[in-house]
Amino acid sequence: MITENYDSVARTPVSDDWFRRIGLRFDPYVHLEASGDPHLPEYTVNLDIFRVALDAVPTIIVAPPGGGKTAMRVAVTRTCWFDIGGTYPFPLPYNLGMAPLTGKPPTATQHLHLLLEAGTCALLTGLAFRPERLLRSPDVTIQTTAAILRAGLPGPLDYYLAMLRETGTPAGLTPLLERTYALTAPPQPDVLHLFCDALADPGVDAMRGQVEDIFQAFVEIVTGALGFSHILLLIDGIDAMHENQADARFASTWVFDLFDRAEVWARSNAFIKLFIPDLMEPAVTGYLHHHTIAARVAHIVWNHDLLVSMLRKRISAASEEHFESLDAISTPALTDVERQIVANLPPLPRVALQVTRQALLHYAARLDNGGQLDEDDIHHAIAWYRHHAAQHMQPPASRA
Amino acid sequence: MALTDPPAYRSDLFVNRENEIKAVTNALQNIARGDSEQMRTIVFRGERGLGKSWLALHLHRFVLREAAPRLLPGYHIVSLLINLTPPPEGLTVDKQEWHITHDDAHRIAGEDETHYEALLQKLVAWVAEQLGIVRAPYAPVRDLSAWLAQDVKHKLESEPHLVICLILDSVFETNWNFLDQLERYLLAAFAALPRVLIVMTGRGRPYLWKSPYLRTEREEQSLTPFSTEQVAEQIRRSLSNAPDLSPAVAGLSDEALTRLARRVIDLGGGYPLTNELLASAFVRQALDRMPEVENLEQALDRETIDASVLENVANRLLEVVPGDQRHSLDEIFNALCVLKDGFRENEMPYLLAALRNTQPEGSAYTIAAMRELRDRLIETNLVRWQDKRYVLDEAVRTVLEQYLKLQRHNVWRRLHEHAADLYATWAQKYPGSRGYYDQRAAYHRGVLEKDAGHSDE
Repeated sequence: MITENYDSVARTPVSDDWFRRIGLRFDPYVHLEASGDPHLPEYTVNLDIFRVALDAVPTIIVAPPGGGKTAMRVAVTRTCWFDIGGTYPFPLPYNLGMAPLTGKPPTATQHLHLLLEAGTCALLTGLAFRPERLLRSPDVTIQTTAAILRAGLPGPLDYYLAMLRETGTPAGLTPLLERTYALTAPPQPDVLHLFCDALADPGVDAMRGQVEDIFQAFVEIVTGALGFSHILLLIDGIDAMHENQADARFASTWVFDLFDRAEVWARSNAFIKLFIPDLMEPAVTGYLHHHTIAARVAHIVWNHDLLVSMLRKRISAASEEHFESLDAISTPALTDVERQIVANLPPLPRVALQVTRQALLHYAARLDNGGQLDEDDIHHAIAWYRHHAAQHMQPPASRA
Repeated sequence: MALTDPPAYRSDLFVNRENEIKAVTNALQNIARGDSEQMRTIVFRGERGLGKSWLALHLHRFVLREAAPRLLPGYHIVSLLINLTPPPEGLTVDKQEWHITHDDAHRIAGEDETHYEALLQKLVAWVAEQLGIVRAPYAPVRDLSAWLAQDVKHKLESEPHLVICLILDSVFETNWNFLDQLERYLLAAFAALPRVLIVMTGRGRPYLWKSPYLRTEREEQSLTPFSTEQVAEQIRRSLSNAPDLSPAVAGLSDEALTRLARRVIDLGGGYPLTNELLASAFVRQALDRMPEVENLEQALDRETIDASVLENVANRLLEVVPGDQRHSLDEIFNALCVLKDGFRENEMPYLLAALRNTQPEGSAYTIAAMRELRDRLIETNLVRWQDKRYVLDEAVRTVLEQYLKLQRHNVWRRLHEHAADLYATWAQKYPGSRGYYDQRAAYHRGVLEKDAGHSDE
């Protein structure tokens, strides 16, 4: 009976109009999967770690499952491409979860092939959203870029350019090449056509040579002529494979070859940013220590204060700063709504988002009666969490 | 009595803000030294009439041109002022200043999105020109933005003693869709560069910047109202420079100015714009009514401010509310001005009904109606969420309450009585928040008792 009640609330359709009626532009708690959240950069908390993720220093970023690793990676990516042509780092999302499922970690050369593919996917998608960065460059830069793209992309460059010409927007590249590159402010179709024309030079072949050399050429053009300050190798998804979830030591071997190159890459202005679950930290840091490889270790540490801050930032962004707490739409009986909720939860953002959303859904069911968020909604959400805690609260790590 | 316009900025009229100026000069010195720990964005937040625009002008015209170069010998400091509200009457636009026009401001406020790019194209081209980086001034804003970011970077690399300071006035009050594009085309790029300091002023809800450099490497300071001494100094400087008042005011003793400052603060809270308007009105009113045999000091001590002066001051403070909203929001501003500690949507129907001397019943008092009203209040940037409650801009609230108390005393008492009763009821009904509601009820009862005591006298 209790389960039926919970499920009926969870199924309650909540429309955009409902959120507008309570003063929110969108549902701030719906996106548990960070790559699908278009508003992510607006409500980043844990800002110290965010800066660490941007810095020009090799870094291991550690967090528990559900602790915000993917969200951090996605937010960093979109932030770096927010402006039109400035000096932010170039985010290269390298998702190990997308590596071929051979049951064995990739070799050093395989890593390089995968990195080059990920880098060219990101570069083409990013430049399609910000073609001005390429169009201001001399011909030789454009030709070199085209040659590297032809060498690294998973499909023919001309296919992607034809798609851009046909649709007049770069949005179609995002699901095809790099999901975290769901950027905003695309160019006008005529500028996109110029971009396609510039890259489509039939006289430019794919760059030839060893993959190390092509990747090095990629790094040089991105941090040189294209104007990015440095490259962030955002490595994530190591815990997405079943075998890696079961064996942290085995999982760690997936990144050892990458760290062997960390210092060489750092000299070229490319920096590893490895996102790992906390269980893997001893094995990875042990390897680095043993091989005297320098890398900073940063922990995404959640506590109740930070969770409260995260929930409020989302309300703040969704309400366009009209209010920053659910207190604003609550009865006089309720104060510190977010703190009341998180006091009953483990310090994990994904859980806090799910439970707070349950309170809103419960409230939504009776908004038509002109009500406000009240104590019953909070009690319901916490009871829902307790009921589902053991079985359902932790979805597997993201493969986004 | 009609109010006179406050004077336009002049450096010799500028008072106070030593701490804020020091924050800027320290930041410049640290940035020039390459201190990576130094915040490269400074935000000065403050309420209506707190002197944010004067501070921005003073930083640009005096501190960065005259004071800062002495602290940073050998450095070339380029300060650019970008004002997102049109200049007040009487202000002459100086070099390296960009002030939005009334027409542009109107179109941005009206969400004419087609105009954003055109305006930003002009602004980005202007910034490029000021920095001596001119490529193609008529190129589209996206191209200009892409060029500018890289060109400024190269300029900073080739001129190691160059420090750039961008000062942006009245930021948060500007349409936020416009701010999104301002950040995208200009600020985000500058915020990521070394040896660039960004100074912003703003009122109301702070904008959520996307760039981590604007969000994290930011020092935020709230401007505070003036002390008695500072108000006295402000009055002395300002009124001495008013041609029609100068001889009379020149003779005022320091003690008389201090007494006048105290009365100005009692009525207006010490906010520079309000200080200026009230002090000027006090002196003019005293001069008008003063018998020939009396001196100005005696006349000022005896003078009580006319309700019409407070009404005019309130009108001046509320002139930032769009004309089409003004009349319909007056009532709710008046109803809420007695809630010094702020409010949530729960108090709104009761206080509004108390002002109207009716019951909070019917469609005009539903939660949906209150939320609609709340949103309109917030859009004025004179109401914001702060520490669990909405607060009315204190400069405005103080004057509105003083006016209500003077002109509509019964209404003012009724609002406090209803607030006291409401909070006492909630204290009983909601035991989890009893302490807070008891405290609020006690505050309103205290105000009423103090008033009754004065009335008895």
